[in-house]
Order: sequence, then structure tokens, then C-alpha cells
Amino acid sequence: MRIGSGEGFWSPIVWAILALGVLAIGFAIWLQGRRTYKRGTEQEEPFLSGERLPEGAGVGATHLYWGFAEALKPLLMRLGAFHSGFLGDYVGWLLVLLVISILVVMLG
Amino acid sequence: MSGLNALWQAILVLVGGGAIGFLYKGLDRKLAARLQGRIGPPLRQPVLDVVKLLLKENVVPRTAVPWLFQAAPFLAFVAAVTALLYLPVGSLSPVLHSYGDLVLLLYLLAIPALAMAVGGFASGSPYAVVGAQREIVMMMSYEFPLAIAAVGIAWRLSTLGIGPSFSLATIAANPLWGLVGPLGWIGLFLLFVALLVVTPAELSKIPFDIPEAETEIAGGLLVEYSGVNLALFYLADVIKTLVIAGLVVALFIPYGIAAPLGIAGIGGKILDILFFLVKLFAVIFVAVTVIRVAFARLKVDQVAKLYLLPTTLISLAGLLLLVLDKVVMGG
Repeated sequence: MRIGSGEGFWSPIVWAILALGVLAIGFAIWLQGRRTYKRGTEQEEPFLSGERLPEGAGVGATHLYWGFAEALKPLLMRLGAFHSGFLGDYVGWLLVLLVISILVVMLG
Repeated sequence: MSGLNALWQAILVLVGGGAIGFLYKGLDRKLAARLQGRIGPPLRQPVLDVVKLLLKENVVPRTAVPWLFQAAPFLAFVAAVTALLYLPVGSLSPVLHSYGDLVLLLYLLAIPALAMAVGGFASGSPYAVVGAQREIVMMMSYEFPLAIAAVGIAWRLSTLGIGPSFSLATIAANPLWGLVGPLGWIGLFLLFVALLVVTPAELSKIPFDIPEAETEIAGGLLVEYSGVNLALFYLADVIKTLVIAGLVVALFIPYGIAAPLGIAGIGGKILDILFFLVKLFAVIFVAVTVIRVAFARLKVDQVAKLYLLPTTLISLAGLLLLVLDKVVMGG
């Protein structure tokens, strides 16, 4: 079976068969490795530069966006200025962008 | 192509790809050392590293989601290795040229990084979670210019009536440099630059190694991996380096050497494969070895800014020039 769009194409079944074959190779390599360790010892503790990880401690998901927010701070500050809080303004922006998108699609 | 023939070709590409991947990894480390005034490890060091990892304990941390933590290295390995079979090698079409295109290859290239991030999150280690978050931020930053470079080339080919335009065999057989005008030529050059800038980030190499950052977060998303699981990630990295370099070659420098020299037949094909390997090495040397020696590690916001602003703008400018080239040149 081959899924195509005219210009692009792929066969999920061929890839799946291939992936199974490669998975078998990976598993064969995995079996060659040492699979034991000292369970229930300090070895199982996550590495934290010698510190103990407090129960329930973790890195919050919101930190994910820090890099983006910091990189795009000037742009986000400018965009923030557009947030007037009036619904009419937001609908207006939506309409303007829709018109631009339709024009781009029609001209393209 | 018969199934048996395809199987032999696949085995040849996988074995050859693995051997070349290890050789280039060794060369990369040796040359990087020489550029820094060190002697460097022997060429066989990457193989020794994998052998050593097989002898080490394969620890699963107490805080991990065990099945996800163990599955991530396999996912990375499978995606990287299968991607190899969708790449053209010299003047030869990809082994699976009829069964997958450029878009599939781009997805397969994204999976190892995603698998590493998933493994990092699944480990439950704060260092690994920070590294995984950085990997995601970096991916979301460089995927857009990468996609623009790839889609721009396929789109221009389709406007010239050459298809299927997303097929890597088609792209490699029809280098755009000779088919576009001056504007298109500049556009292609900009897309080439954008892809070269994306390459070290795709491979998480310095200055884009923030997800691992040994001196800061102790290996980041890989901090909890050891033994054979780490070896699988290592193997995925070896193969992925070849694949990304092969993609750059297929998209921008797919030229062979046998035809200009008038060498045909099996000798010509072998010569083209050797020339392809030289081009792969040149891409890896320029985009990985030299860059990682010349620059220090960037911060996560600097990486995001670099890819979201200048690199994206360069790739968009390249795409715009290809569009203008189509308007000026027609077809």
C-alpha cells in the first residue's frame, strides 16, 4: 500500500516491516549488553550532583517556554501592546488575517 | 525491483552506513582534537566506546517510567537507521525510493531527538527534564527553517514540471542549480546556508548541545542513561549524522563525478559512491567539526533566537527568491 498526494508519497507498511527488522537488530545489540544492576540500592537514585532528590520534586512544564519567551521578548512585548481586551479588536484582527490568507491563496 | 534484490541492497546500505558512520565519527573526533592542538583519540574510538557501553550496567532510575525509559533508545535507533534507506547514495536511487519521500525523511530525522526528549522526561531526573525541555525548544526553533529549505526545493521542481517533486530520487537526479535563474540561484544558496546552520542543531553538537550540556546539567536528557541503552542512542547519533549530511548532499550537491569524466557502468557507479562519501565528509567537517571547535555553547534563548529570527528569515528570503525566480523565468 502506498499513500500518495501527487507530489509526495510513502508506504507505511514497508516502513513498518523495515522498522520491525531494525528493531530486531537493535534488540540483538541490546541482548549483547549487560542488563543487570544492583536494584534497590543508591545506584537507582537519579543523579543530582550528590544531592538527594526530595519526594515530589520536579521541573515544572512551564519552564519549557522560557527559552522561547526570552528569545522573542521584544516581539512578545510589542504583541502584548495589541491586547486591548476588547473582543471587537480581536475579531477585527482575525478578519484582517483571513483576508490576507485568502488573497495569498488566490494569488498563489 | 525484486524483494530479494531490495533486501540485499538494504543490508549493504545498513552495514556500509554503519561502518562509514563510525569512521566519520572517529574522523570528527580526531580532526576536532587536531584543530584544538590535541592528539585526539584513535579512529576506532567510537567502536571502542560502544563496546565499553555494552559492558556497563544498564541502570533504570527509581524515578523513571521503566517501559518508556527503555523504549526511547530503541525508537531513536529504529528511526535513524530506517531513514538511511530513503537516502540516495551517489548516483544510485534510495533503496526504498518508491516507498518514501523527503517529508517522510524529515519526520524520521525528527524522531531520534523526540525519543531522547521522551527518555529524558521518562527518567524523572531534574537534569534530564531540563535537557528534554531544551531539546523540545531547540527542535521547535530549527524545524521551520529546515522545512522551508526542503519544501522550497520540492516546490520549485514541481513548478518546472519535474515530479514527483518530493521524491529524493527526483531531487537528486535534477539539481536545481542548473534549472533556475540568477534569483533562484541566490535563493538556493540562502536555503543551503540555512540548512548548514540547522545541521549541528539537528545533531545537538556544540554550540547547540544545550540539551546535554555536560558541564552544566551533567549530560541533560541522557544523564540517567547508561550501558546498552546509551549505546543505542550513540548508534542512532552515528547514523543520524550520516543521514542529515546525506540530506544536505541530496538537496544541494547531488552531482556525480563519473559522468563528467566519461566513466560509465559499474566503475562509474563506484566512483560516484566514493565521491558521495567525500561530499558527506565535507558536510560533516564544515557543519559539525569546524563549528563545534570554533564556537562555545549557546544559551537556550540564544539558540531559539538564532533559529526563529535570522535563520528563518534567511530561509524565507531563499524561498521568496525561488518564487520570484519562477515569476521571472516562468515554468
